[in-house]
Amino acid sequence: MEEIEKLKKETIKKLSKINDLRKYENLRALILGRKGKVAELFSKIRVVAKEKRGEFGAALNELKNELTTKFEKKYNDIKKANIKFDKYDLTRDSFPSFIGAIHPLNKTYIEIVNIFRNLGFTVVEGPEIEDEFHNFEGLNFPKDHPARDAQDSFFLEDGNLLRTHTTPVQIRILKKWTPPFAVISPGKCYRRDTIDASHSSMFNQIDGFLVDENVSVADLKGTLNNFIREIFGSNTKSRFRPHFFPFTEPSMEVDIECIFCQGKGCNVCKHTGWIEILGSGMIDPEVFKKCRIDPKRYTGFAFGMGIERITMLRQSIDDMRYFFENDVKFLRQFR
Amino acid sequence: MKYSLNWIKRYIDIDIDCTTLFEKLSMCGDEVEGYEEKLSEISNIVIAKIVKIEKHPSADKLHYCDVTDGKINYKIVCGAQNIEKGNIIPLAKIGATLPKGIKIKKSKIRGIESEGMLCSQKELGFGSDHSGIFILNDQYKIGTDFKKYFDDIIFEIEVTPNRPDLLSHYGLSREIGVILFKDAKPLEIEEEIAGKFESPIKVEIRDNSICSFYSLLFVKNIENNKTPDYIKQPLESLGLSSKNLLVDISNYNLLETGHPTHFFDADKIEGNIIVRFAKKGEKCITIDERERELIKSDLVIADEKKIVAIAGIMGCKNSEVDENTKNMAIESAIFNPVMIRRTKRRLEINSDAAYRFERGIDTGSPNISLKRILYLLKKYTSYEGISFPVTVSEKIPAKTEIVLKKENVDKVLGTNIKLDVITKILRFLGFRIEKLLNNSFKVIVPRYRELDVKREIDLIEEVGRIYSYDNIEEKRPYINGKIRRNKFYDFKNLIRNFWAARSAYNVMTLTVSEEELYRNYGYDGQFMKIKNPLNINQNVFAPLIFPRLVRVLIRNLKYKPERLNLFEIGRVFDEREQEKLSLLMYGNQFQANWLTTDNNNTINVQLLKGELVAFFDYIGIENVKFVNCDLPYFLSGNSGKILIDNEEIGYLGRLVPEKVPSNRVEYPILIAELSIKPLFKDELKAFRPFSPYPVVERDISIVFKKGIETGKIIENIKQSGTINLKNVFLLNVYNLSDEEESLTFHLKFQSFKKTLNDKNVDFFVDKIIKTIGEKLNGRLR
Repeated sequence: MEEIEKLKKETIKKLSKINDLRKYENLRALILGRKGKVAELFSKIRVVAKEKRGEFGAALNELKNELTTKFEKKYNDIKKANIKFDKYDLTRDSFPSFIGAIHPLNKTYIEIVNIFRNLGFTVVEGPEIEDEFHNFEGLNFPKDHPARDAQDSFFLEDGNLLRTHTTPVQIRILKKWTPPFAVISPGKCYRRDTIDASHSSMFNQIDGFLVDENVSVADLKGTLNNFIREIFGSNTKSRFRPHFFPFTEPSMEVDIECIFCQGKGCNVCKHTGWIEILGSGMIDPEVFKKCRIDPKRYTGFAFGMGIERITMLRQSIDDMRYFFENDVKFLRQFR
Repeated sequence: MKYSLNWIKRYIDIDIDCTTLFEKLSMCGDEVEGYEEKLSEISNIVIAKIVKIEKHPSADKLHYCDVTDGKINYKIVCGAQNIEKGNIIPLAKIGATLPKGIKIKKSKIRGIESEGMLCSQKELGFGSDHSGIFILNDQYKIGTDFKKYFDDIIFEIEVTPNRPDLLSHYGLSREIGVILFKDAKPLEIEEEIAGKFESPIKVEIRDNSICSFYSLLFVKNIENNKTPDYIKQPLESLGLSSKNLLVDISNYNLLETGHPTHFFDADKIEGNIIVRFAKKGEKCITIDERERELIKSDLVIADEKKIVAIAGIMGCKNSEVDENTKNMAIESAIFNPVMIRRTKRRLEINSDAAYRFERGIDTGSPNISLKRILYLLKKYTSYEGISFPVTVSEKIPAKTEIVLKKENVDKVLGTNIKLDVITKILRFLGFRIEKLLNNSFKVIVPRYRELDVKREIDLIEEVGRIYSYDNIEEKRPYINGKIRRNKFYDFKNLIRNFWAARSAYNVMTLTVSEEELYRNYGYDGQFMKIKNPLNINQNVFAPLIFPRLVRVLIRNLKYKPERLNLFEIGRVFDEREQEKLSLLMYGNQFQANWLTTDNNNTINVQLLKGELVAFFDYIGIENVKFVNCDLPYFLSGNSGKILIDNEEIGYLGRLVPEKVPSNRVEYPILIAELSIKPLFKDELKAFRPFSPYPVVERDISIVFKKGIETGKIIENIKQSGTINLKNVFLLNVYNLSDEEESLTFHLKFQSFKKTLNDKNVDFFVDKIIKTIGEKLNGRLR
């Protein structure tokens, strides 16, 4: 019995001095291993007097349990002690990360399209290579008419042309769908313009139109004013100035109060206090007829706007060429 | 068109200031694009009277005058010879400013001090006359500022193509009349064309389609006088220099009535006038002294020997009116606008006449214009007599009549405009109105609006624009109809967001570009060529995108980027118009810093493949294959095709370095270009149950002869493994010799039914090794 007590004391003493896993393992094997000291004592049971065997066995079991617990605790202590957590200086650079950017024009597109989608407009994209009917004739642009002057087109060798506006989508939908419907159509357009600060041979437009019974100029104003307030701020004033487009009658251009001078007059608004941002009007009955929609039953409004212009106004960009040069110093500003 | 405000004021009293007027015009659809004060450069010029003229004591040619502005006497030295005592003249006092910043100071001329300067028209920047001092008449009050009488405001209006009636001073005055609710004064014209004899020149029109109206008037023994200021001043204000009375009247009439007429010197016409098509190659010299070669579709006015004018565009030198003209023939016609436009565009002649003819001339114009010319000729010169007009004309249609219903006005405009407001607007616009039953009218359109007002909707627009759209209350429409979501549009935005977050810049480049750019990289397919390019840099609709991304990269190399990734979504023409995604990867994708110990810095096409795999995973495309394949744009052995469901949708590769036109490129340029449509699957994925059992892993190293595609090996492994083989991953490649290499694959096994034990997995692996051995001659290392 003294042996048990002695082994217990010695082991606990030794164990307390150990602080690494290797020494721990050695000691564990020496004490608790298959040929360890505890096992040795167990093998001595047979030589203990019969009447003391029960007591001895119980003491041994207790020893084994106690030491096992102690060893386990020690093992955990050593483990804990050995794990070191590094400290980090967060003012240092992390791994270099790279992030691109969405093109500012695409960002404007998404914003505008979503405004109209929220009202219930459907997005439809049309082809950039169009035929004369969809781009001109269907929209009431007669051949050889000065109304085409502003839309000098690139003609293709196959007789088609590059659309000069996104309005041809209107003809496609009027021919295909049955009213009522409301459509918003974003996309690239092309005109034979020399590239400068405010012109480009390729540019981006959004066209929209709504056809139903009893649609009026009042609806047009409500829809577009909603758009203007969303895009330029809820206090933005607008005015609907009569104009001419072959495919709408009546036609109007929409101006907003100059956002740079609040209408007082500056260089941007040419001292008028107003900036033109889009063209609109009621779809001409002639256009309906060409698409086999009854103009007596249905009316509709249509509008179109330049994405570059709106982006330039909103984000103070003074030269259209930036959009197509794609300098990364430009692109990363508009994330 | 540019207008002189003083000229406009001859027809209508304007009692509001000009900025208010311009604002109102703009808000009626006649947008004023700008204006300038004609005499803004001069100041301190006063109307004065010459009281006394003496000879300069020391210079024969100079006068020494006493001039008064009604209060003060000025002593002025003057060199002009046209002055007399009592003349009313403009005086530039000391301190006055003349054009080009010239300041009048006290100065001595030949020893005598002059207290100012008497001015010619030219010196005042007012006209071109420099023959002497500008002599005025008694109407001008002495002491008044010169500008008060002579200043003018020149303003420009963007006249829309539907309003040819506004392309004249009288026409615009009518429009201003509507704004001010006043009537313009009627134009003073000869009541009758009182012909006295048969014209010696007759007219023949060869084809009715080319000219619907032609009238010729012979004026006998006309005196080509000096042009009076009444005609000359407004022309000069608008920048037209005065030539001679007849030419000036012709120009004046054009800008006044909007109808271009042409004056021929009748003695230069040989025989009769013929309106016909030109012969191919026929030539003439126009009054701007340029030789023009004509084609068969050009419309000309000819006599029996020669062409005397390109119809409706410009007259010829050979029949021009000049100071010596005795007899004159006046042409007043309507030509086919389409033909005029084609010829004008082909010859690039932007004359005032062509500008108006291509926009259309109403049937009332030719006669009004002739009568106005006769009035002016009578007033400002003399002639012996005029012929009966020689007129060839189609039947002139009756005036347009339109029924207008109030309910339709309200329906389109979305408001309720009072009946009397509607009628008042239409009356001032010159429409005649007859009341019908039930709030409707018969509206009779005046001749000058017959070209653009033809339907009820046109009248509604007229009412709306004068009533003002700003007076219509806005309403938010309820949108009926089917809601159709365009998921493909959203999908493209998803793609943009992925690549932007994945480090690439979204760019936008010009689709219309030069053929050579694509040929340079080895494109040998068809081009959709542009028939009328503006320049050689824009002669095709692009067949692919990436060469433009390379151009953007080169542009940005000046910033010495460690890396730069770009992408664009755009249309190309490749057999048909389609939408593509193009990607460019450049530079070190794993830039090292203090945190990265292992700088694995190999830049090759595998990098881009990895990005693409991530992309396909993100958008949920599963059946993607990369196939090795040499392509003309890329380095051999560095490119491949991308297949989805075994259909080719694009390619990737490393660009051949020599083809990149820049010497700043430091890293490989990796390119991928793929169609978007096949990537878009409008499907909602259903849940697929997955195994709850643990995964068992094994690595196997197998020796192969070099040259066997790893894709094929993996395919074989997958086929020979069981459904329990979930993943094969190439862990390592070890080069054994020139002939052999060892590939280590990491395999993952998992069963749906149970936890796999070692024995199960050993069985699978053995099977794999056996198959590889049989099919690809691979052996376990």
